Amino acid sequence: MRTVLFYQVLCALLFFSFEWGYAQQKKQKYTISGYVTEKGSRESLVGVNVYIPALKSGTTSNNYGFYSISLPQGKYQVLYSFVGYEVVTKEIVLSEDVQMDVQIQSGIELEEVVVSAARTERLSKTSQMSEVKIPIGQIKQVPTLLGEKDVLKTLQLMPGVQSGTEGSSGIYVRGGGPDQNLLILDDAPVYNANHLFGFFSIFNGDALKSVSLTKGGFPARYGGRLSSVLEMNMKDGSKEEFGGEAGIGLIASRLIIEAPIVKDKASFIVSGRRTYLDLLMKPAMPKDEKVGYYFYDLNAKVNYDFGRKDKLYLSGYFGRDRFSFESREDGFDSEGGLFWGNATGTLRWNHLFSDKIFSNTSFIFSDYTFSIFQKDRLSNVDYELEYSSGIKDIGLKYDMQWSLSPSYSIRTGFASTFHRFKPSAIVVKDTSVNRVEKKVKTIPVVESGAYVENELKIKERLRMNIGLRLSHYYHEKKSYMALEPRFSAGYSFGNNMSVKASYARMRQYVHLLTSTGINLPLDLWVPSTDLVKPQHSEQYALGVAKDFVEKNFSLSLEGYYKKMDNIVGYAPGSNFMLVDDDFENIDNFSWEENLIRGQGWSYGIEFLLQRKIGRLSGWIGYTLSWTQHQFDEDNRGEKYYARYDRRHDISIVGIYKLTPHITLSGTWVYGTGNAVTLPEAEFSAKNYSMDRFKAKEYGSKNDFRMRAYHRMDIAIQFHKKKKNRERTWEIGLYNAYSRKNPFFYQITEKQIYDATTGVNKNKNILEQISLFPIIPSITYTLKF
Amino acid sequence: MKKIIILFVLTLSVVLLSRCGEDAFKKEITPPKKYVEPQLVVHSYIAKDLQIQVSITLSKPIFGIQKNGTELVKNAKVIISNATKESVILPYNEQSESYVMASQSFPIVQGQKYYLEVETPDGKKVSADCVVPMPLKTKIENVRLLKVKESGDVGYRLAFDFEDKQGEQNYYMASSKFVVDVNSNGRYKNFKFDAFSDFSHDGETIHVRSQPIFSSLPEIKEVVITLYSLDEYSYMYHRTTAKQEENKDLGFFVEPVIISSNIKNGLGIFGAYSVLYVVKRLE
Repeated sequence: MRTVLFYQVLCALLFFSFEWGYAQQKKQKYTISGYVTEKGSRESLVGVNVYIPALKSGTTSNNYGFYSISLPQGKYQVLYSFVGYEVVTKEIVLSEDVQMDVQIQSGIELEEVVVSAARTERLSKTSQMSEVKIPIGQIKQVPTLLGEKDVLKTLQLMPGVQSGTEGSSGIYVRGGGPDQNLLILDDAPVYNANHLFGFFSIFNGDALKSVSLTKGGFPARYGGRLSSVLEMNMKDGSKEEFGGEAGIGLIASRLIIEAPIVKDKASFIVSGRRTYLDLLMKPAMPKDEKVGYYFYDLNAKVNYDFGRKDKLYLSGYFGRDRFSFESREDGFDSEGGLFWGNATGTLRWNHLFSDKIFSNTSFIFSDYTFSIFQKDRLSNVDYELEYSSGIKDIGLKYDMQWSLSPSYSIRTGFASTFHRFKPSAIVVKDTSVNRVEKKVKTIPVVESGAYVENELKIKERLRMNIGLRLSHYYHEKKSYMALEPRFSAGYSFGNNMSVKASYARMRQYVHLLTSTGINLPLDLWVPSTDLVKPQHSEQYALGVAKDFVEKNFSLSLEGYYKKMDNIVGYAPGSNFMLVDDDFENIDNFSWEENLIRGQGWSYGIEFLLQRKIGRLSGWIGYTLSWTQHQFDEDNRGEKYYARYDRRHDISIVGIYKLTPHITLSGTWVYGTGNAVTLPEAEFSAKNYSMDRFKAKEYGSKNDFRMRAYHRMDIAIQFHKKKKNRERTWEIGLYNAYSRKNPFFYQITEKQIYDATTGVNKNKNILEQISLFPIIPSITYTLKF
Repeated sequence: MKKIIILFVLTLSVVLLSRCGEDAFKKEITPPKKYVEPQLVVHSYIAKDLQIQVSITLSKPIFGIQKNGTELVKNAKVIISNATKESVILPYNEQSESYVMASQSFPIVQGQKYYLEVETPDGKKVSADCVVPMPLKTKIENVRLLKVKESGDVGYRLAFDFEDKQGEQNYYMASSKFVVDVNSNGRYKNFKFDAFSDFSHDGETIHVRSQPIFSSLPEIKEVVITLYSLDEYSYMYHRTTAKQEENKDLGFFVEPVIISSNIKNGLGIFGAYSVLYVVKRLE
């Protein structure tokens, strides 16, 4: 009954928005549309604010820099503003449709007074809530471990986003697991964003143009994950001149090159990064025993501008982690390793049907592979084994945006992805028994979604985004279909303050089985099947946003409640490493049997005071939250706090331009300790064979808190401009006051002397292991 | 000059990072103050025609001075009863260090529910119940030895197949004994099996494989296979204890395994099973 009522209300709202939008559209006559690009490179700019002061109305440029706004006949002043860029003002006499492409100058060199005058996007003027946008420029100035800039680690400093273990780049958004984040790079999903066991992510920001994280109030165009959408767009490459950037750090170096292919028409950008710890350590290793590790990233993009109506983009990412070993001893040679990595590719075609209707069609490819390789040779007998798992996607996505009036726009589209899961594939070669065996098991599924979104503005006060997504999933034994209503609204009080509310129902058809608290590549992506139902969630959020325009501050306070169902996990004790005693028989491992399903609750309050521009920029974030899980087959069926349930989470980020040549930056983070499970007692357990062994009684799961985590990182950047280039030295300190933060706890036996009896006794003690002390770093970057 | 600074910082970072495993990064933490009173640990598996045996011990707090050995509870009142309220008090047997009752004195019937109550003079009281599974009506077939290889070592697994009963959730365990030399009367080699269920294989042929043994096997004459049908509590207890034992060396890489138990206010298991024995000659 409640569901029927809910859908009746939703349909009424959708109908009302269509009717209202149509009525608005009839009143309007002419359209101003165009592309906003960066002066000097013609890089399209995402999220540029296009504002008509006379009407107190405006719009923003989309992911391709396109904007469109329809207005009544008249004379208007149009302001184009973007964080860190000069404001451009255009006078337009509107008596017909106008095409207005605008180039805006990066404001890095401009004085603060000029930049602060910009009318940047205001939090209080949008209906979207629970969204985090960090300018790439700020990401490059935030101090990090070993000076390696990292998008995910910067996002961890935002309220509602929790980090995993020390140094890890994993993100846990509003109590969601690591698989509940949809990471999209140029429309392509990325399944594993970690390098070096999670200490670095694959997104270092060099090739990125924009980053936005949505934690709740999801617009209907997004689907497939429960907790967050991290959308990243790669740079297109300069269409005007050759340029680039090179950086040398302690563990990795990087290089970006961008240049026009056909001036003002086509350009490319290529960026790469590689670590060199393996090369540095090689000479120090014994000749007959070698261990090596490295990772690399490669981003590339080309684009071609066919004119106003059509643009084509081809972009890709390729990254690999390789851990290898080699040993030679008395005629027994052994070598092997672990390799994992992502490859993504997107071909996108932008087409303008008219000045009001923009569309994008994307062909998407994504491939994540993990493999283990082992080769032994003893007395001319070879034994080789290769295990691999992964997920491969091929998809088609179509989005259309129709700007009917400044008060009303429609977005609609569909996406269909063919996933090919490979939980295991084995190749064995054994010359002793003349055997070559190949076992590959794949699971094909198709995930699809179609959506409609209505964005409307009523009398400049009330903004709403009402949407509906229909998702469908096909597996050979079972198909699933679901309606996912989305709603967000913001009411402005006129003093740059607004109240916002949102509701989102989400479905997730792919799952990550993870058995550890750290981001290992051994985690396994698996599909929904007849036995494994899709995860789903409902999230409600309510908030207040206030802009302090003169000071360039924005403040938001949000409360949220999220209920998650059918969340998955490994059955207690099951994990990939214990699939079987040997990988040869891994095909017998039924992951469905080793999976448990449960529910989760997450709720909290988030506070964010942010300043994106100015001599002093940064933010202060605070989160008060609770996250609980319940699985029938774990913790005796009782609710427990999730490992990354964090009652208090504080982050302070400051970037201060001391002089035009020196930038100081610092972060301080504080978080309640992770919830962990500690044994309370020991007892002698017996199985059917009456074999005895020492068992541990854990009481309740995760009912012990580690010590609180806090850390300060600082950095200083020295910039120097030379003729056609700019160099930057950065010296940084990670964990500046060398706080011994807990990484994990262990129980160890200690011998103590008992003075009364005169003998040594064994005592079990609890020990904290820390990972990173103070770590200095130095990096050199040259921009040309 | 710049090169020297870079080299210095690089060296310093490598040195600092390499200290991670040293004592400087370990710190003793005060464990939870929660006082843990020793709990009663009960172990009892009942089956048709099998002597009833209940072992009772005490658990030990994990932190602090460690006492050696297991503390037996010899003065408890142990009662087993069935659904028709018939009950029996089990006396303590010093030899087996458990409370014992002959099968004839209190017959265990398949398909019936049984209750266990334990009370100690110092006021500890635990209870549990379980249902004895119905007889196993299946055939064990295709008994064979499989040669396996791991990291160049050759090993063997014992494998066999049987048909699962359709329409119900079943839990199983198996054990085996190899009669290596019939004349020596007692030279056995045991293969170990994990507990398993018919999850996603309801009514199908179940292929069972033992854990491997990595040593050379002498000529095998016969194999005795015991297939157990377990109640759910026993399966969960067996599975979680085995997983905890397997995981013990993996440290923080895995989540700790919380052992399942059906003992109210205590630890351990009151489980039940039915068995099927088969003796097969290996070709």
